[in-house]
Amino acid sequence: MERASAASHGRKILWAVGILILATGMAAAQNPSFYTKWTNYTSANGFPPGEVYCVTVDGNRVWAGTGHGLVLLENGRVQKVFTTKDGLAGSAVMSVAVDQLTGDVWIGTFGGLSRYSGGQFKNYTNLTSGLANDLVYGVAVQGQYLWVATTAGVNRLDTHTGSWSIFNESNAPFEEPWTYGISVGAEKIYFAVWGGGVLSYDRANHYWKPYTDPDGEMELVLYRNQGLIHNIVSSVSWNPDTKTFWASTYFGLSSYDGRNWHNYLTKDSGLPSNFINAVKSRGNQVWACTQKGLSEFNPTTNTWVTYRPDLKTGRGEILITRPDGSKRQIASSSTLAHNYILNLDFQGDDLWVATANGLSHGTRQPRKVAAIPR
Amino acid sequence: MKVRSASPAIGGSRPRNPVAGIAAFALVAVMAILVRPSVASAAPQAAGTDSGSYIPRSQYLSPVAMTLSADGRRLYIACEDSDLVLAVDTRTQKVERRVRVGKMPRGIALSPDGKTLYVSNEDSNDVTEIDAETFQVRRTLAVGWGPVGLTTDRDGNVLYVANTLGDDISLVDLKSGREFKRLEAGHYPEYVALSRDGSRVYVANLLARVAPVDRPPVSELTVIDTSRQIVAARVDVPGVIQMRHITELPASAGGYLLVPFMRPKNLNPLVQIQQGWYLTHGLAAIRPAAAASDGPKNYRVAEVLLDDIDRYYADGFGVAATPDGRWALVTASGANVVSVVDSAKLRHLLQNTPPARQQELANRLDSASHFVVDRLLVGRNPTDVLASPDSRFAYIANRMDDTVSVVDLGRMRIASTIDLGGPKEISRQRRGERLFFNASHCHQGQMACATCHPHEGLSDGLAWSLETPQLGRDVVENRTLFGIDGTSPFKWNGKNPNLETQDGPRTAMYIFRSQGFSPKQVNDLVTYIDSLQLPRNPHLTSNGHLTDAQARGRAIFFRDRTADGRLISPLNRCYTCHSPLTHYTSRVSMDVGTATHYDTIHAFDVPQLTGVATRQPYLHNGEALELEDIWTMFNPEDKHGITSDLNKAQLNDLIEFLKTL
Amino acid sequence: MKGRNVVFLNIRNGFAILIFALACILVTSARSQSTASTPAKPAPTAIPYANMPPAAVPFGRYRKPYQDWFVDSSTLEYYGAARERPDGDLAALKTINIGFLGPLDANNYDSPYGIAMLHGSQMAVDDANAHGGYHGKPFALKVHDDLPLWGASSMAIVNMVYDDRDWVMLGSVDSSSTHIELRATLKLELPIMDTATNDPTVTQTRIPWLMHNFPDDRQQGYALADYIFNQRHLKRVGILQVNNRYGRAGKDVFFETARRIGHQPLVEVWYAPDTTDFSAQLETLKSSGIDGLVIWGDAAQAGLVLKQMRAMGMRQPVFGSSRICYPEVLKIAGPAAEGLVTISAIDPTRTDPAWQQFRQRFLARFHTEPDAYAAYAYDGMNIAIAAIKKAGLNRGTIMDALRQYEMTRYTGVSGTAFFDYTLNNIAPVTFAEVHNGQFVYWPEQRTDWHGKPVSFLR
Repeated sequence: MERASAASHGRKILWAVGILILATGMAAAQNPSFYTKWTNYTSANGFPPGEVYCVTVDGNRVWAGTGHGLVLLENGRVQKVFTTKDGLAGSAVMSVAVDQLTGDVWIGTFGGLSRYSGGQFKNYTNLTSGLANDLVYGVAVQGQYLWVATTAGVNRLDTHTGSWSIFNESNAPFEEPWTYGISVGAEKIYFAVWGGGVLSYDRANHYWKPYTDPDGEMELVLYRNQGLIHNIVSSVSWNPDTKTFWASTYFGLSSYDGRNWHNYLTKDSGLPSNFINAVKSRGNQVWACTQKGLSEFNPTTNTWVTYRPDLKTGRGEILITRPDGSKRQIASSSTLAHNYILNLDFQGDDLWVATANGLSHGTRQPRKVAAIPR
Repeated sequence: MKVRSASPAIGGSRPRNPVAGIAAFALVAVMAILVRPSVASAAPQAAGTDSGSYIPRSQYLSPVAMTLSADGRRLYIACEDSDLVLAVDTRTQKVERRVRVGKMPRGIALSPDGKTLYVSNEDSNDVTEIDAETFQVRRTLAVGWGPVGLTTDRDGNVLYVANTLGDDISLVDLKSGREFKRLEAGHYPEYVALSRDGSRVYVANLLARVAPVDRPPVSELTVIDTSRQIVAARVDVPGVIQMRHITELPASAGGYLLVPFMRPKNLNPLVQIQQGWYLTHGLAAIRPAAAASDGPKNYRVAEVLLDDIDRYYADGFGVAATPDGRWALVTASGANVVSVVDSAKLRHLLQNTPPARQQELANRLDSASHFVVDRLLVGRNPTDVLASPDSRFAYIANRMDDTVSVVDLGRMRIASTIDLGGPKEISRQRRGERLFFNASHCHQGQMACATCHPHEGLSDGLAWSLETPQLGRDVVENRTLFGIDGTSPFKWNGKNPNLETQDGPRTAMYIFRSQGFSPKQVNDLVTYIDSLQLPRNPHLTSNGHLTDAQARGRAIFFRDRTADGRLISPLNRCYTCHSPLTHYTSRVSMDVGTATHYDTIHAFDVPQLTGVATRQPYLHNGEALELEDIWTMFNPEDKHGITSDLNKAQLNDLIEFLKTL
Repeated sequence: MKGRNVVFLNIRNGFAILIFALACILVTSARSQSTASTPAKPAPTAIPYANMPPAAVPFGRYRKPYQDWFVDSSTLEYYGAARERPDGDLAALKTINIGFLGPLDANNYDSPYGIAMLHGSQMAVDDANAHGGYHGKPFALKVHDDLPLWGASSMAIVNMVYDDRDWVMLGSVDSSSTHIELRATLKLELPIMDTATNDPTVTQTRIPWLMHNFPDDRQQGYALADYIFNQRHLKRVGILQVNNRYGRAGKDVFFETARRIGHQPLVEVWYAPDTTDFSAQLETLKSSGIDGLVIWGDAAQAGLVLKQMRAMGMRQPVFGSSRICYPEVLKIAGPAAEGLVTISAIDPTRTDPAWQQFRQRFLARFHTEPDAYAAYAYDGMNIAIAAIKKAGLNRGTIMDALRQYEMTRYTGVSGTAFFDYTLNNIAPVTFAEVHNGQFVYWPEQRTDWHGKPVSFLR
């Protein structure tokens, strides 16, 4: 038995080496690895219908917030759809954050904040707790603190003492209180404020700093890289690897590395739409969730790759924009569930993507793909 | 079921008539005592003599928690009133060592190697680490608020500590001595237990989840997966409160978790206590899920009563299974009795009750006859119970006697009583305390003061139908006994001018359905209740200064103008009715618009605000589950202070201030 | 894209007026055939964003912006999945529900506007039902009070989607509430018709789910600034604003416009919404040596201001925002109101049959004259109902139907609206002046239009 197993193991190694040699030889002829394998979870296969607003990976678990409750997937399978009947605070789930220390799952809904712990929900609402407002857009965990982005400012719950703090225009430099997203960095916490730009909160020194559109006008961008491109910020993502924060707006994409701003519009980059619902960045990857597809931008190579179903035919396509502005379109046999992308999260090298019509799981695969003639 | 007395050697413990006494049941503010000098107390007679002289409470030991060395030779005992931990040699039955720890030690645990003791100090918010051999204090570990129950994991690397006031569990890394994680528990987590396989820590929550008061309470058994150190399951235990110690029967005996509870019928008018079956006491028998990571739905919860049809065993507290799995011993701290459960019979009952009838078990007063094989009368206020490793003996801590009863399980009798060395003179306050815990004064022994004021004076968080015999009328929320000296009058209707009359003859007649206490006993009890102090407020910073938010809230509390500058009527200012001069109550009744059509009165006694943070739910009927609710839901006409001009941040500030009181 | 840039270059080269007028004529001719309630195709041309006076264009004198927003048909582009949702099952529905959010509680400062808005909406719904509703099913208004306490109204739009199952909603007056709805609807995808907020930023978000027909603060501010500085030739203006979001937002637009056209106001003073004694504010204004006063507030307070300032001997002309143009100001100020010039959101003296009929029916039903809030709500609700009728029971296609009003006119009881690429009404506003104790109305005539007929967008 053992011998047979060893032989089989040996054969596997041989195969692997062979494939490796073959692959190396073909590498020049192939495209770089793209996300070409997409598994979609939609109403067609029993997933809640409609938008998936958010997705959060927690080990082999994936939490997806939809308009009809919170979906838990384990190892790629839907385990449970939690609704208000199960105790969830609201049907429309906008954000999920997992406290890696306690295992508790915090859920921001249009109906208040929920904590899922030990198989039970506990809810916090505007009337029954210190929560600033029941329209909760973002949640994030920072040690014993839970940060909550609401439509009436930022909340902080000290989970040890039960104390709630509210930060809004009365005690912090908010131009507007409508807060969308939160990104926790080692030193600062960043907030996407809808109409108020990006705000950072210094964890050690407890001060706020605003980053707003320097031209101060909603209807224009005066200079390309003048500063934050627009004050209507939909999300923010701190990249600890590059020490840069990225901000998505409905008017383009911005980044700030502490010294320089870089802005991206469809007219000057490979961004497929200026209307961006979310951004997430790690290493050399910047992922923009636009209404015309999911884009990966590599700031080092200045290359953009957009994944989406073709806006007219629905067929999978991968759009590449090179540093010189030249573009290439290649076909993909599988693609995202929808072109309107709301959110994503990483599971190792895999992607989980929230779209307007279901959840998509993308796997990067080096494979030969044919160019679509333009 | 016959109740066996303690051995004659320790003598004097047999109650003359355990059913004849009366318990004073005080929900609205307190306990007071009816004058009936001709009826003697049914409490066991302890060693020592009654005394009217002043003896500080700290002179008494009050053993409340115990642990035993692996070889069964040494019994370690935490004594809450004296702040001492004792080591007793189980062979000589002598106290060998003693060491002073923090304030109010209420929990004790031994490291797996038996070399280290951990003692939780409820009033100092820390844990004392003691060398189990030398009894030297090694270090003090900071934990959450009001730590009580504690256990290490199987490797002795992590200490789990239940923080009663914080509603959470501190996880302390025993290498560094630092708390590295805090997990939210249910409501008022008191005692914990490590599962036999070490995969889980179970946490019993004393109080039910804060929930609408017109529904039966639901308590929580919190289950921590020790491999991931997260809460894996929050198991509902319906219809009960006051879950205390936890024991796990060996797999051979069914593997059930046994947790004592009290099962109240609080929404029925209290006059029904004379029909019995109003407050019952029993055991939750919980079949744990197969895997530590499983959720609550994989736990099977059954409930059985330990009471007999005409005799109740109030205030279950400690529980211990013998290592051989044959017996489970449950202390009834209000009845001075240990019930001996034959675990095979219990298992038989549970397994042969069809699922459809399982719920019935929780309400049947004839169940105990199927599995309780003996009732042993022990000392006063038995709390913790332990079984020896060889399953031959059990030890019971008698808190109000400063003794430990030793049960010979083979002969099923009290073998001896270990005197831990408390004062022989019994002070007035101590006498009152004994009365407070003793249910034998109540009709059928259904309750003691402590039944509805657990943890020595808490409100149980339930609403009770006290005075009006009609179902659903005049339901009022229980109130705390902590720090009530100087807050008279009492009861939500403000009718009782002092503690002595709070539960006078009429109350005894209409509520307790039994006889009252002698004037001397009334005085004793009042002395004790007046001595109950609020714990140090954890919401206050260590230097006592208010945080910015608390200071802003204070300014709102003491304001006399609205946000837009209008003068607030003096009658509608916070500080008028909640005067800081007298515990934040003006000691009058006020109509703040909270009466419902179920109430026969509209003005209610203004409650003191001291300790308000720990007194959920709120308002006379407990409708407001959180402080926020008082103003966001139940103050639509600004009659309970002007609050409609406040924004949410200001309301939060006001609440932050109130929590400091 | 290129063509639009040319337009802007020309503006800076001084040919803007010519091009602009041409554009206007194109729009006018293109739309002249459209009927009162049917949108026509968008005009393939560019109009300066928000009908902005060239002199008020931000940085207009210094630099062409790297990017201009809101000036082409991509402004409200939508690539989401709303249209793909299954249509509502008409057979299973008893009513075709439409949400309403407005301040109705008597204690609410804005409730007069909210109640008028509700009445206008109700009339439109009843009219539609009198004509058979939607395929025989009546429209039903699901009313939510816009209560500011404890964020109560934030959840209104959630309830409209999940509980009421509305197809479209109308509201609100408060700009903060409207913004909250707007943010929520980006996720929940319920079309919003806003007929009452003055806040110009609600149409600056690129969210395609909102349409707005009330003349906003930009339109009012541009018109007032042009009138005060270019037509009345005042130079040292002071501003008095009510200290709430309405006052702050309006003041900001007027102040910025005035500054850009070279007449930065000398002084800004605010008052609390329930102020009755304005002596402190007026003393400040008086001592500042202003030659005119702009009030951004409500009629009752403006009446008191006029009375008290005239009593103090202040004779400066006074100008006001549209909420001041109410009979209350005349009642309170009496003769002191004489000469007051305000923006009016409607011209109630119009004699066209649509308005007159609406007026009479409204008066008969609610025993009060309809104001602008009632008129715009009536028009807005009619637009919403028409969109449902056209698009069917699908919120995505209803939104598409609303977006078809981009760059088109709509004539209703409030007058003729013109919707730009942001679906905001940028039609010229109406002025009112108190003359012999009565308001006299005239249409806006901006000097940057060089005396051309201002009906170019009407």
